[in-house]
Amino acid sequence: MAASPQTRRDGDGESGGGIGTLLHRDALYEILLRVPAKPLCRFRAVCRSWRSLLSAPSSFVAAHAARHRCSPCATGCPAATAGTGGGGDGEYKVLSLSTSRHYGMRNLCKILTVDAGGGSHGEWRDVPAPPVVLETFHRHTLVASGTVYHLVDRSNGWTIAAFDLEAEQWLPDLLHGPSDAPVPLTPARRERRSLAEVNRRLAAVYSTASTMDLWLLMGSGDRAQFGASNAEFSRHPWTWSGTNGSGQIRSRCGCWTTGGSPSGCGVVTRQMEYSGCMTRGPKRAHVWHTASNLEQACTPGIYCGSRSNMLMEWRSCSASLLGNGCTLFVSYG
Amino acid sequence: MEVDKGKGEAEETRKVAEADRDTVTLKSSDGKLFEVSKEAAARLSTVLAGMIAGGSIDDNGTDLKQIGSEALENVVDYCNKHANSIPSAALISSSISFNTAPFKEPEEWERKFVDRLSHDALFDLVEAANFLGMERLLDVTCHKISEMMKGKSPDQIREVFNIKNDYTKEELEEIRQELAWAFYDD
Repeated sequence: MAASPQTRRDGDGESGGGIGTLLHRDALYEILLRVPAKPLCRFRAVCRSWRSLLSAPSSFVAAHAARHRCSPCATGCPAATAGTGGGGDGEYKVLSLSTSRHYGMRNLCKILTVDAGGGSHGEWRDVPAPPVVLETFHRHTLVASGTVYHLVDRSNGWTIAAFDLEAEQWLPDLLHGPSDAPVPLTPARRERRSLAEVNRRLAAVYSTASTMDLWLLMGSGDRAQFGASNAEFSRHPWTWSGTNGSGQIRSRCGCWTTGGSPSGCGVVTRQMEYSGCMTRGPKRAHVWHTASNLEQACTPGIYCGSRSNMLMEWRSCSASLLGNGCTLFVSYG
Repeated sequence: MEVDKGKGEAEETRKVAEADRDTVTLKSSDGKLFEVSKEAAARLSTVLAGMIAGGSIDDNGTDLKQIGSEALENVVDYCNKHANSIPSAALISSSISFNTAPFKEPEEWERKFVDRLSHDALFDLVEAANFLGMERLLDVTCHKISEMMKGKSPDQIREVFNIKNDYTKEELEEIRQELAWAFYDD
């Protein structure tokens, strides 16, 4: 494609005004109608007029929804999914969490078992809804030790819903983050609360532009003890016992990880922007965007490999396996 | 169709008896003439079909002031290729407004047809197809552009479509947060 159409038709009175100066409005609509829902939602960030065009309620969104089976623009919420190693034996479970606004706000949860080869075992199964309605339009979800954690609220500490992948149910109580974390959060300072996985444990992360504090959820891995009352975070100093002087964390956006195990495999999906390898340092996180070399291969799939081998072996599984509009998170078996 | 209207100054090709002609002549905004099969034009373009049926085809070249010669050449090329390649009657639809039918995947030759076009040519062709009510061509060209858009960031989209970013930095950050999930590509 030629890359410099910039100056064409500047100021053309017949063009779509703010909608786009290169094409007439009708033609642009026709094009956008064919763009899948997810990138379309992303394009709300293009400009104001695109945002109103691409946000419900608009006649365009209705038309788009009619042409596509899955239209987050219409429902306002996509499916978010987490995958994990549920059992041993190279089996993984994929949790799909989506929100429906058709009948009031509620979550729809489904689970699917896949094997390491990417094959599915049976159909998506319905599982009970979480204890509170979860927003699915962010990706504050991650998997650690067979549990999917979903950050419900981070405005005042961390409030987390947890799904036990083995039992296939949500824990009835919400989990609360460390009480000694700095409050309140001031967005202007680019502070952020998020979740991460460190050496197979859930970590509460408080980060600013230059620092990062971690608290690990302690416990033997017996998931039954993850109740609201006895959840115990301990502040995790930056001298953690990762091998080779480094540990890998999975950031809130769901990256691949081996979680400190010498080898691992997991369900891998998408582009990973903030993910990477982190070295210890004096309260300073060095996050490398090491995942970028995987972006080329970011088809949904299962990877197997060791932590020293960044480019792991990929076994792709079909997109349909993962459900419509789903986003998977990495985990390991 | 009338016989010769007496416009003797027209080129040789236009002097044949119009009633028997099986082509129509189209004139681009910059005055170039193109011939296309009447049958294909009527079948593929609702606008041309209407003009042919209504007798408003100008035998010296029907003026299409909105369409440049490059785009018109592609339109004609498409019509000819279409006539030669597929025996499909299912491609015509009466409506060019939003409808709910799933989009039909482009055929192999249609893919090749749009793949060779430059960005600009593609945009021009979309508009020409839209103007002429050529639903199938519109489908194919829009499909191509939407494919191209899918993996792009808002920044890249602004660049391609020459759109000014009218958000403040803070607003943009807010939207990014809100739509964080959409910024990770499938």
